[in-house]
Amino acid sequence: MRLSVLWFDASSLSRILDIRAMVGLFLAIVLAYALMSPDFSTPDTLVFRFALSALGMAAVLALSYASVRALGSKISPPWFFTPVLQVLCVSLWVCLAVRVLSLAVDFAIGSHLVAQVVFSLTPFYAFALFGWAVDHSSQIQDRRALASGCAAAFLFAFFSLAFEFFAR
Amino acid sequence: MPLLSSVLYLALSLLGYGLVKSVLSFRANRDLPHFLWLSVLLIAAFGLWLELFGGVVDALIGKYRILLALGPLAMFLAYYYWGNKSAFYQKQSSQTNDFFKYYLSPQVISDLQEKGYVPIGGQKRQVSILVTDVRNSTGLCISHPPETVVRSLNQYFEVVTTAVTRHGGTVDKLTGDGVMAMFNAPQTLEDHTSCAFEAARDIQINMKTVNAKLASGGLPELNVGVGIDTGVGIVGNIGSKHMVRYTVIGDVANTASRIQEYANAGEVVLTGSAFKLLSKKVPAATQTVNVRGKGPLVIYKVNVA
Repeated sequence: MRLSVLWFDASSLSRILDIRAMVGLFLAIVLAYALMSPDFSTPDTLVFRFALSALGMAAVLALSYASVRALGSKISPPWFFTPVLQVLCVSLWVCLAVRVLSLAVDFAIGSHLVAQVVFSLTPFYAFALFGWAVDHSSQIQDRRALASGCAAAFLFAFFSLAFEFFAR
Repeated sequence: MPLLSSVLYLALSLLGYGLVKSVLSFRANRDLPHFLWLSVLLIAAFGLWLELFGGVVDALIGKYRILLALGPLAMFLAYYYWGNKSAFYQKQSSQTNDFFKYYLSPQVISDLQEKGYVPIGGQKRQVSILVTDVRNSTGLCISHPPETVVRSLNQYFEVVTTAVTRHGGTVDKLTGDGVMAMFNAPQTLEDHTSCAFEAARDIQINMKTVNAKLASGGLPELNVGVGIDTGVGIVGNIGSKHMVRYTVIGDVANTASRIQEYANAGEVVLTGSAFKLLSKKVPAATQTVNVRGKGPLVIYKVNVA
């Protein structure tokens, strides 16, 4: 896995099959997502957020795979999920790091606006990257690949909205 | 989030993905339709983002908000400029590669392209080494002007390098009027000894045609001997930080070079280890020779011309 996936470099998409690594990647994704908007007010909320992230992410990934298959892809689950999980993991951790950095900048300049602007952009970058990863991993061509990417980006954005609603 | 904002949020996620796709398409095609798509999506996505998060943007930059409109344009111009620049460098790099392919082995060029440097080191590998040499080349140089010898030699090099490449081998080096080539490195060849032998056969057969042409043009004929050995050697980038060659080091290279001295014009000489590995057996005459530095060795002489 190389960081150049962050600027949509298709040659960096790794297809090394390792089930244990895939489970680890999934847990890292859940952790990154749950940490994106932390709410440490009560431990119960924390556990709830993790559970919701895990279920939501699993649903997004499963539905993305289902949409890809529905669009005519013959790809098997391991070959699909390996690159997608890797891209998602890298993008979420990088978005998290950018958010922390922007909070630090805000803290230094005594404002909260830089972080808000950054927070308004990072999710859409993650959605686009996820859509691109699904599009590439589906191994289908032209408009159907575009449709699979759109479906994946939409599903991720929908989950993001639902997460905000339920985790409140 | 209110319903309308949620719908806009979902729409922006789709536009964001569309924007990425259009950037990638424009990068690949660089034509007007892709440029127009990119512009439309860029403006739409930016407008939607301002609609959703305009409050924060206003609070951050206030009355200078209008300057944001220049952002996408500046980004696009920067991208276009760097894209053109990188395309120029790619073209230049490709021209440089085309030039250096005549001087460097493909493996060294590939290392330079991928890593930016040539890692020094090698691996143990079974290879077949083919060595050719022109008989009585010293005499030719004495009896003919150098220009004439070079014209003849160039035709011989053409025959040898073409035959080696055709059978999957790699030309290691040209040494005066000799050529050393390896098979099974860097490209893996299952039956590398037979590939080397087929290349040797092609060389000897094609040299007959070349010699006929040379004779008709009043140029000196070239009698070529070929030697083949199969064995284990260290294959890789050998040298120093100032000069590196992708080559093979080991007894196999030395033996091939030594035994070719026993090949007459039109003959291919193989060591026992190479001869046993040939997938198709060929009639050969055996001879025990005293190889310099190795002592007595049984060689197999095949007349292919």
